[in-house]
Amino acid sequence: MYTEKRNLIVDYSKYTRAISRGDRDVFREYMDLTMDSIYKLACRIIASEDDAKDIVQETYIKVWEKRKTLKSDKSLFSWSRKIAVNKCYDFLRAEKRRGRWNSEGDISELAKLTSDNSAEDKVNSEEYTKILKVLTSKLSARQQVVYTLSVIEKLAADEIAIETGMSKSSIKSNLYHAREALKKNAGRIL
Amino acid sequence: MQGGFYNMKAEEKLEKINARLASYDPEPDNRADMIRNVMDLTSGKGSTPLIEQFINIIFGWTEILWIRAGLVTVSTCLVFVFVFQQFSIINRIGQLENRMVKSSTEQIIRQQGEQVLLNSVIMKEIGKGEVKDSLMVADRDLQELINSYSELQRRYNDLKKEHFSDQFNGKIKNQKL
Repeated sequence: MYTEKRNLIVDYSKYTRAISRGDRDVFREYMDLTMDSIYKLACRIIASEDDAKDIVQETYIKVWEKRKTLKSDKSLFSWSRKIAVNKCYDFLRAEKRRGRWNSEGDISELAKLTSDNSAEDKVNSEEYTKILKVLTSKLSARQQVVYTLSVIEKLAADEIAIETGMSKSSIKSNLYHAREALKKNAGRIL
Repeated sequence: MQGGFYNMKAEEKLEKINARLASYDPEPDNRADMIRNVMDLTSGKGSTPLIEQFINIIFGWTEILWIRAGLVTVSTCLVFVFVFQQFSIINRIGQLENRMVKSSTEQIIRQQGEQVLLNSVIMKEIGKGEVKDSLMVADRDLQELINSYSELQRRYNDLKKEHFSDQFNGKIKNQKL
């Protein structure tokens, strides 16, 4: 299901078997194949490219360290994404706890960034960070992860459940509260 | 243009922002370095030392460096105090055990000494024959006691005989008279 969405129609079972056996060449090949996707996921959740690089590397290190616990019927790619999402969640929680996510931002600049003129252009890293920080400053780390996976990554609730380990009802609840908070926030600040 | 955005409803604004955010498509600029780093770290080169891994497992929940350092220091001190305490207790137990063994040994030696002395005295007395005599004294005393009793019994019988004979003779005299 993931592979179709990301145009990665790959049979990961051979990677799962080889990596769980400790084949480092296959592990390198697997990283080469999936790194872009994991990196994009991390960047979209935490809105920081430098930190996303660290998270991606930590994710692959954990995949390698825990390779023996990986069962052959389990999807290596979704497991890797799950590890990355959990690391992003931990990072976000720490950032929010330290108060580094409470950026009020420049409202007029945000309006400019989201105006009709820029609709067709791809948003760059700096703009993305500004928009996300202003928009999600009031959300909890969990709500923000669910919101990003649902709205930006465009995953369904059951896919989010796999990647976060949360129940579907909890995902729906978090998403609802996140949307309500964001609507209020968007209406108030813009 | 921005004025149009300001006039939108909150939901429309949010949809627009979401569409903007979804267009974000980053790519790692140094993926070869990242892969090499991961390969190096997973091959053991530059891996975290075991002690650091242990500290991370126990105190990984706190990210503030001075709190983590303080906790590590305090826990290290506590471990040292615990080890020292255990060592002291073991040492004290050893001392008490030694003292107990020593006093028991002294007691046994003293008792043995007394026993040896007693045995030697008894053996000496047996050698002299005093012990044997003293045992015979008891027999002799008993024999004397039996003899005394027999003598007493005999005298009593004699006295009884004399008394009856006197009575009998008296009656005969009275009848004759």
